[in-house]
Amino acid sequence: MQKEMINTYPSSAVSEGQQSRYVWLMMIVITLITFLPVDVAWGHGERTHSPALRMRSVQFYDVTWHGAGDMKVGDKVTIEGKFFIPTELYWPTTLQKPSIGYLQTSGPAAVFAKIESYISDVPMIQSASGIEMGSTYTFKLVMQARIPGKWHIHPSLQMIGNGPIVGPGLWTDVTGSWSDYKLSGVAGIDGQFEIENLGTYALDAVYGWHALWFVMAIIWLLWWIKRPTLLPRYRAVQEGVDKHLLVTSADKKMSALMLVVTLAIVIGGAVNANAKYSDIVPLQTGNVPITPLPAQNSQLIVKGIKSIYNVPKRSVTLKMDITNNGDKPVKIGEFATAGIRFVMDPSTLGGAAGQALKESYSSYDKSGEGEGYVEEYVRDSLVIKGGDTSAILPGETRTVTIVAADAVWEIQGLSKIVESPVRRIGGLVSFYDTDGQRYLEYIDMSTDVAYR
Amino acid sequence: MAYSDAITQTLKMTTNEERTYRMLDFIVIPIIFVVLSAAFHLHYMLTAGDWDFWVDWKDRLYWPIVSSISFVIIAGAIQGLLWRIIRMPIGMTLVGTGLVAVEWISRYYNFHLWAYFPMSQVWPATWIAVGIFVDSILLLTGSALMTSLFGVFFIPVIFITSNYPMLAPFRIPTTVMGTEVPVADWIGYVFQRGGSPEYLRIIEDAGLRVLGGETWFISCLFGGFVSIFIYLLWWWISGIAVRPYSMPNPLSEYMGGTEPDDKEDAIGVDAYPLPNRNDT
Repeated sequence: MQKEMINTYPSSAVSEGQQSRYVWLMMIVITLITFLPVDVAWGHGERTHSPALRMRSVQFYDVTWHGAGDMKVGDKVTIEGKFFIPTELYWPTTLQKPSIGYLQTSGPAAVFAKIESYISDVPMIQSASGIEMGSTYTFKLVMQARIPGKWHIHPSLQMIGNGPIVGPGLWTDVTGSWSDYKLSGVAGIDGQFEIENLGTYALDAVYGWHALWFVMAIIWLLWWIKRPTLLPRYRAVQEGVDKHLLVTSADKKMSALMLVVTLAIVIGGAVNANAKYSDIVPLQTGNVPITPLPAQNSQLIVKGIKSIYNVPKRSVTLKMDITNNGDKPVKIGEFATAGIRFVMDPSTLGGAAGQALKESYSSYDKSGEGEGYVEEYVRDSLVIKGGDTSAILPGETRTVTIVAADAVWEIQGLSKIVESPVRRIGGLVSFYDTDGQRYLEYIDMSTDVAYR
Repeated sequence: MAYSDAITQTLKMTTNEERTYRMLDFIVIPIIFVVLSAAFHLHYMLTAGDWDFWVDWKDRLYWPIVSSISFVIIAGAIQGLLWRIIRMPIGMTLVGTGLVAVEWISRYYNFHLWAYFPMSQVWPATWIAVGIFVDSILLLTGSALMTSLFGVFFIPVIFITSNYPMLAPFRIPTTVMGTEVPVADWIGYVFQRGGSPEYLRIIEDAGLRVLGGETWFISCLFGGFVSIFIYLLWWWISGIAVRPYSMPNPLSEYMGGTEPDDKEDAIGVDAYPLPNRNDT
């Protein structure tokens, strides 16, 4: 063995004696690396999702939060809104067509308990089937704060074959104690079983049975390893000693006893459980069909022509052709994509349209008392290039270029469209007629990048 | 002669030898237990993970089949190994106990304290009854084939039945948003797994494979049948593992050592030093 410790390789930089020094140095470096400061990751990477997918797949809009912000363990937050699924023509080819989906929140694990969830007013305890492209659905989530901490919570739609697309998220600051959280209810066909706390439900039985089986295992294992075990028995096997010494008649009796006791416990336990919980149901996994909102009565034809992301200005310019086949003049009020709303100055719309736009958002009240939209996701930075804010009259076709210049493109990671293999931007354009009626039209267009 | 027994006396061991060997037992057995438990945990989590992680994955169709086949791979190999080298029928109980112990550690620290899932959602299934049952059959029959037919075949049945008293309370119905579901589904709904939507659950559905109301019976039958072959395969593989064999390190010259000399360093099975090997 000694000779193998000596380095004889002529080109090696490591000679005898130096080897241990290098090893120690390496160990010290590795140990020090573990002390490097690290930051706590509070979020969960939603901004690193591909911008082309966030802007061109599920469009969350009109998302409101009730009760978020500063919360105590047990407080509820309700998230409501709508999501639009683009038509097959514009749906990203890199995603499967959505058919089955599941409404969830994206956040760090089960820090919130999901109390209720609905798509189109249908309870979503199972997954939704029949999701139609080109349709809009309402959703509602009621979440209850469970774990103290600062959590970022989003609504998200999981799609089979694709994964989640997250909607706008909101920070919550939950105080209190984890142990204070209890979700109670009743179970059984007559509600005869009271569930005091779902998180600790039936754990006495679980702990008790596991303890019993551990005791059985210890008895069986100790029976064998109480005697000299490894090398004496190994030698005995190798040297072919009398097999009755290796497995004695006492061993066989003990084995038979363990077998009988094990079977008795197994069968007795199951029979007892069956008697106590006689009415059981299998796990439920059927999908629940959902229906979309009725299609809006829009007479608008909107076609995206080209968009440009300007890097230094952090702005997106969207050029589109708009034809108004309706009987009322309309004005552009908003462009929404990836859960972010870029809104016009309501005064440029004027009258009922401006009022409707203004009422469609209000700042989120940090006290948690108010209801409304999250300020972070409503940016009053949308303008019409050239300054022509006049209404598009019935029968008129106009080419309009809107500009949304805001740092939020970078903050939300959407500016990464620059380095995306799919440079396309999609989103919902809101039009308002003179009565304040809103019409949503989806646009999707290729994107160029302006570096100056 | 503190540790003396019939075997050490037959082998004419000295007191010193006995004490040394016993000391080795005390050192090596805990190490073996921990290493096997960790390895088994890794294997089991990769193959039967979700069915063991979550209370709303423990279904009638896949849970017995997947769990049994996954379990019997390492449990069968270790049982065969220990039976061959020290003639002890404890392999399946040993690794089954280790697996459950490590699962508890993992569920409590990783799933509960770290990821905030309640213990009612993530408690592990027990394998100890299965281990004792099959080990006892091995001892009483002394044959891998008989053990596979009369022991391993019943693994899914023993597994499901021994876990049923823990699972039954989670199968009673409750009403959530007007829909009747078992309590396990309610737990899975409330304490949501962010990256695992409901549709990803691979559990019994209302397909043709459900086979009427006899799902438990059919899946245990099939799981037991497949387990027989898996068990015998790994019992055979463990037979290869007990053969002493070593080879020189072909990279030793790059690691600061000398070039290997096959003739000097190789220890093949034919050169094994103990005489009368397997001579019964």
